Amino acid sequence: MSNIILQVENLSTSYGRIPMLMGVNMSVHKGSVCTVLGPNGAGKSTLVKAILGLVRADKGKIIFMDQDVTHVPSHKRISSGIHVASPATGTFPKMTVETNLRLGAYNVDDKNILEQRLEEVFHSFPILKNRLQQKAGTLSGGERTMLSISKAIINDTKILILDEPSLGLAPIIVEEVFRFLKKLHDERELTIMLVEQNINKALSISNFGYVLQKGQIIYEGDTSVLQDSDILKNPVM
Amino acid sequence: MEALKKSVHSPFVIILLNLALGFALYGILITESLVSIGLIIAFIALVLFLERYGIVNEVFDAYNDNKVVALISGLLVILAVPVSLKGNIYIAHISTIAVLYAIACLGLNFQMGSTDMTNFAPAAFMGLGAYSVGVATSKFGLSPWVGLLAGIFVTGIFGFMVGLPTLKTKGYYLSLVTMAIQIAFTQLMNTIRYVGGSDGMSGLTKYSLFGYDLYKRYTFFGIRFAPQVPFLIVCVLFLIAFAYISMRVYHVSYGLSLNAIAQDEIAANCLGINISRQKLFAFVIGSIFCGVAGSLMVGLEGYVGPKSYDFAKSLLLICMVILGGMDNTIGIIVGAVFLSIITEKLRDFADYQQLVYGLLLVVLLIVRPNGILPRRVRKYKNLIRRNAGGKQVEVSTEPTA
Repeated sequence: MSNIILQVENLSTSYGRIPMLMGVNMSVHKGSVCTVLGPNGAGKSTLVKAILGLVRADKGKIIFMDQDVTHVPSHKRISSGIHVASPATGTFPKMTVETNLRLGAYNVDDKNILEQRLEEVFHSFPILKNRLQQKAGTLSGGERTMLSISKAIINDTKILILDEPSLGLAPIIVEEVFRFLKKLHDERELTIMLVEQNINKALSISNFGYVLQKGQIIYEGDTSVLQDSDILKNPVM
Repeated sequence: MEALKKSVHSPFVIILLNLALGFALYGILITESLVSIGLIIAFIALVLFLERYGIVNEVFDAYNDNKVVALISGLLVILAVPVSLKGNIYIAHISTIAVLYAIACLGLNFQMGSTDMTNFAPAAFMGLGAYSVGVATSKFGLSPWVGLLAGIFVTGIFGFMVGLPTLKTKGYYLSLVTMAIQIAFTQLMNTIRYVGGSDGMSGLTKYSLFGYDLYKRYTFFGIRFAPQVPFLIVCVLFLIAFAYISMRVYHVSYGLSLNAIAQDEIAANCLGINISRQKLFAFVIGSIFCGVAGSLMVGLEGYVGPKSYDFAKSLLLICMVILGGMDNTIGIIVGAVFLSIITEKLRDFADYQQLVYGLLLVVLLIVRPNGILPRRVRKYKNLIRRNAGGKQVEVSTEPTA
């Protein structure tokens, strides 16, 4: 098996007649943290949706774990190990935290494994243990983000895609979320694809970065290089 | 109240409770119009009062903890009620209809309660089941049981076909689609000469079991029973079986994923839930439940016609689900039974029947917007609960900031 977990080749998508992505190429290496940066409307979320299969690809290929998944229905892609966490699609606010965790374990059939992984979740997020009977909608923003990330631990996740985890969170909570992401990556060597607007925070934990603008990748490279490059100083970013 | 909460958990209290519920049901059935409606309102008020102190939930938990006792005593009580009706033809008739509506409502709940897809065509599916029995018995001379099986098959396929457009439509649009299906069904049955057109088919063969007719006056121990009683018992057994299926579906991942789809389709998709399959599942199983209810309805009336399964009947079933409590199997049965009884007992008001009925519904929904027994918060016995252990108690004693 190659070192690349997720590869996007020449991907183009559109909403009706409006093109959103135009020939995007990118690859996420195993065990790396990869960041996709870009201004509003650059197509970051569309890229995530295309990888998940929520948006149809007009052209190009998506290869996950050496398999072409471009035409695989989205629920199958997800159950094969892509996990997405975002404020918008992470939790079910009207259900209890416990039910949310159960739903996260939808694809885990073995009860022993589930129990073991729940143990790990509570080890990582002790706060969730106290909130089991609470409705997810009553959690704070940070707790909700953690709940949606914790579902990645419950599942046998190969790659965790985070769609703007810092959106709508207080800076101090953002700090906490990113610290946790780093820990998660270090401890479990989890591959993370981070889609962010918060440039500095995102770059601080990642090792490879892409910059997306108007549906095209305009820059790719190691974060150390990216941090110093002129591209991020562009006022549009 | 605390003492009451604790005492609920003993098996003896559960048997007593079952007996009390049985007597309450018997009282509601047997008394005259106003007294009966008064009893129903008193029952709802009692539930409301007890729920304020969290006793209703405690009772549900207690039943869960003492499954065997609760089941056996409940079964005996629920089967004693039809027998206790003795020769009362009218009440036996109402009870049978109530039980059959309850089965249809359980089916409708898969779509309305669990998945939040309002289906305005449950009566059409009941009608399909009923017509299957009608055609099988009168045109092919088969046993109505064969008709019932055919009905399951037909409604299942039809449910699948109706489910297909729902994959693309949501909310109001879905409601419109199903409304159109309901109206089209009634109109279609009105025009097809083969199934009797607007007159329908009457004088159909009724169900029999092991050579015994189920719709017949039998005399046991010197008591002449109403002709519906044996059939009512069979219907109650059907209801118990279907209630069990509903509860199982609710508790396994199928029910949970349906709830997830109801709340947020994209989020559910992002957990790897196959949305199309689950929605179709909800439609097919719900349609089959409605179809079986309709098939059994023929055994009571010996008649099937388009007017029995029109839009008004669909609305009635929807009212029962909403009033009883969405996604709560017991609540839906209670809602179906109460509404069926109320409709009948209001006959004394003659011209004002519909007015009083509407008024009652409005008042009930103002008092209990989520139904008599609302949706319960899901609880899990093993796994997480065990892990959480004493931690929860520790937190609850902490002062909240």
